Amino acid sequence: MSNEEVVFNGIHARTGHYFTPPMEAQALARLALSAQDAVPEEQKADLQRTAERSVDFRVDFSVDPTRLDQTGWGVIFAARDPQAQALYDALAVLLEHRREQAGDLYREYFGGGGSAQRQLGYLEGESKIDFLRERGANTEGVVFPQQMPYYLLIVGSPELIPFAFQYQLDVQYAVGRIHFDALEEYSYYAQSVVAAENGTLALPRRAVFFSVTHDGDDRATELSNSELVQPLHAALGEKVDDWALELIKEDAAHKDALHALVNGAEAPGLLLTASHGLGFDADDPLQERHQGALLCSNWETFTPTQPKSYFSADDVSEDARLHGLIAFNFACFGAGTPVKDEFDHVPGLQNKPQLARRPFVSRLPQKLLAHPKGGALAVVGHVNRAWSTSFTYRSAPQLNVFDEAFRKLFFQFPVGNAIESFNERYASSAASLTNALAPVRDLIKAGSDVPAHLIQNAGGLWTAQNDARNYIILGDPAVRLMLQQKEEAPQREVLTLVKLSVDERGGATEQQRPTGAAEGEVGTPEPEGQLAAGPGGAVPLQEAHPGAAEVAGRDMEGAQRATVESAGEMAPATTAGGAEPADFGLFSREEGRGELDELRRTLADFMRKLGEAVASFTADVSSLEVKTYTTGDLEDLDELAFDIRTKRFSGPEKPRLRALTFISLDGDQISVIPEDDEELWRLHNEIVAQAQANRAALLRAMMSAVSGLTRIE
Amino acid sequence: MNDRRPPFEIENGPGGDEPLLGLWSPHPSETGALSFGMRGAAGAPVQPRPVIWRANLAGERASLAQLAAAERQLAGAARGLAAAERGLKRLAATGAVTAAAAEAPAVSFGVTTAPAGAIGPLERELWQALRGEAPAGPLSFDVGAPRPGTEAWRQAAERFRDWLRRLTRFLVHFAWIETREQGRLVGRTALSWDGDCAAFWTPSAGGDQRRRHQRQVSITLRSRQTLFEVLALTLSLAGRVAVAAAAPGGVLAALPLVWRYINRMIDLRGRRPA
Repeated sequence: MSNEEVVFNGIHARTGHYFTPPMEAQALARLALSAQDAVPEEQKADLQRTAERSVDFRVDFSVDPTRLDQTGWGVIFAARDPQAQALYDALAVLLEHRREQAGDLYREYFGGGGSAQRQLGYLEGESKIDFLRERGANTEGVVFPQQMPYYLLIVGSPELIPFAFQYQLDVQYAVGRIHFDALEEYSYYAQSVVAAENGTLALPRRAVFFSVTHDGDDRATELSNSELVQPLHAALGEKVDDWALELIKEDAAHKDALHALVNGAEAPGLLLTASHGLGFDADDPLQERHQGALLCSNWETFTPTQPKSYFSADDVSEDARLHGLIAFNFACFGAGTPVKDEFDHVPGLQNKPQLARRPFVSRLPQKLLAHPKGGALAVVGHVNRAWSTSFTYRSAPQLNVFDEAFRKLFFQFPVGNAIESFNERYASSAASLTNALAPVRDLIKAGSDVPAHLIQNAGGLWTAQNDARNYIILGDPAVRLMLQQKEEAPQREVLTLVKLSVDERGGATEQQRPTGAAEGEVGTPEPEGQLAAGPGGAVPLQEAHPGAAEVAGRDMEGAQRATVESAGEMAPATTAGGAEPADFGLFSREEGRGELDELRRTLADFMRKLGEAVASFTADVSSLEVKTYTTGDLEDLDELAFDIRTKRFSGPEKPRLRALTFISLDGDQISVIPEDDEELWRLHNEIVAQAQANRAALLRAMMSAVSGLTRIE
Repeated sequence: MNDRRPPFEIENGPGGDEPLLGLWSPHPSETGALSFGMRGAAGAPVQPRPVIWRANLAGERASLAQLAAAERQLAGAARGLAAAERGLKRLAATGAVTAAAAEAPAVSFGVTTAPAGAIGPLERELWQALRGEAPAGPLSFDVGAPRPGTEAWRQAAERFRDWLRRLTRFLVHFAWIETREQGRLVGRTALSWDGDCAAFWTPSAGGDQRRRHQRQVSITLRSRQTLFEVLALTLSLAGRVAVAAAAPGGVLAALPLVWRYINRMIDLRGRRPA
């Protein structure tokens, strides 16, 4: 057997050594066998089928993956998430935006479902296959957006919707996740995405490749620098000529440089970092705050890490100009941390401590995404450890996955579609692994020696599979780079996103805000080692919405509906998730309440009359009648009375009908033409044209008004 | 009729003190001598009075100038309506303002000088009003943002209700459109709610007069359409904006504020050249 060591990315923050000690290939092979045995057969089969399919046909071939009205877009909440309604409300602008884009292919998986557009949310313990089957979608093969949208955004914690579910769903669909610890961060992210897609964001075509290496014998970053970042930078440079591709490498990849990139005047549109990610023990108070932070070149190799050598969420400035950024962080724990480690399968290591007390999304991408001045649109990163097999396998470069993903991003494909190559690689390597392990298993069962090349192959495939599997998108998978067009100046405005001020409604938040974190101090870091109730001083979700559990699962059509219903019931709006009504003076006095009552009555009366008018309109809309008369003299006209509905006249003289046009809905037109007045006939025809145009415009306005009124009443 | 009448006036229509769309002055007396409704026979129910859209033109070239001015006014209103829609959608969609706009001095007409994608002082004022916040700085256009619960909000709500009640007349009354030149009636057009139309001319009306009446009909139709578009925009976007702003009063309290914003935008654009 080979004794070749396998080295893992990731540095233990406190010891300064590899988070996972190097492992002999033989041990890795045993691990692979053990782990693979734990994979359900149906999952293996699914991966096999995916591997056999061309990536181009992941979504139905007739669908343009850049058009949400063809691909669909859906959002998945945990059915029993007590905070789901609060999250929904905080995301209302994004959901409304996507609803408009996806049209009939918009879906919400929320609560208990109840309609075609709103279906059952994620149930605890559901696998990908359970989830799809329960909701009427094919459990394998090509995605038909009519069954379930291709782009799916998971909202919530990995405790409620596990990372493993996301990995598996991502094999077939384009999946992203957002999870923040504070409600307002959801709102910031939603606003950032909508502002990017509706606003004037025009990012420069500039990508930065930030490649860290360390003095000494750190093979992990040596490999990522020499086998991933540099060749990728070179390869892309040959393929795209309208992008500025900047390489910051080795000693230059200092924390100061990354600080300047993220917090400087202009962050790039696309940022790739390749570095170690920090790992902390589960009981370390800094774990959830700094796990996955990016270790920079100025780290004194293999010594305990210090904040000056790594870039964490605390380093993201309040004034950073990040809006529109898509970041790709190649680093251990760059995206998140599961509770359990794959290495738990290793015989004798079952008692290894858990990685974390609860699974969580890393704080750095959270901070980038939810920046209050306009945040990143997506961060692609790794859950758990990252391996060199991402880009090299058995000493052969494997850059095609990165190459395709980046070029698709350059060409403004949605990020969920752009990184399909990683999912394809996961499926492909998983299928290969199954095949590779079969002879190994047989030989071990037979008590025979296993040739080194089989061991190496199986171990390599296993790490490659896990590595590819564990890349996830944090953010909406439908976002894309919003780039300047040719001859257009780049534009990236600093946004002032609206803070979701929960204290305005509940009044209790003020007391619950962590000491020393005044309003507006979002993101203010706490002293190291001291964990506040919520990251960055933001109000923790659970505390901000103590009543959220009561509204979760309610069959509502969204935040707007919630607000509207509340208004209709003359109760204050629950604008963000079930908090107690705010007292703005409007409802605290009887006269205020009376005024709203009166307004509501006026609206109700108007709605009734508008409804009658629309009914009359639609009943009569089958025909249009235009008549032109002349009267005897001016006095006759002045004295004329006429009811157009009954067509009855009164007056000294009955007017003389000179021209008549009757148009029916099917296009038939009857005209009575005056014999002796060409000018009159011309004017009559103008009236006909006007009447037709006016009717269409008025009907549109009326229907829109009815629709608006319906929402209110 | 006399020449001191405003060139465009509306009788039995949505009243108020100010000209509708900056164009149609309310008739001073809704119980005046003119009546073009169906005269009820003895014992018969009195028919509803029509809304009369009347042009009091000065005659010949002056009439043409008056009509052209009205058409410009309506074009400005359409621009204002479109700008209001963009502004509301921007607020509803992003709830965001650029730093440039947020920090810009609240000068008059800043809304037209703000950078593309930014929100102007009217939007900022609406946003503050929806959120019940006191204005941060000096306000340029009015007495201030009518925040929910304030007297200014009550006034806005009252005006919105009044406008709504009067708008109801359009739903139940048919319209007469008439053109007078130097006090003399040139033509009349009766217009039903669903578009049926009957035009009446005096034989003595010349071709030019008939064409001027025809332009008056067109101005009336566009005005009526614009009013309903104001209503539709108010009702369709108030909810979205209220949600985006987390408005404490909800969509109902937001309605007068949004309606007021739209009207101010129309007024602003209507006063400016294209």
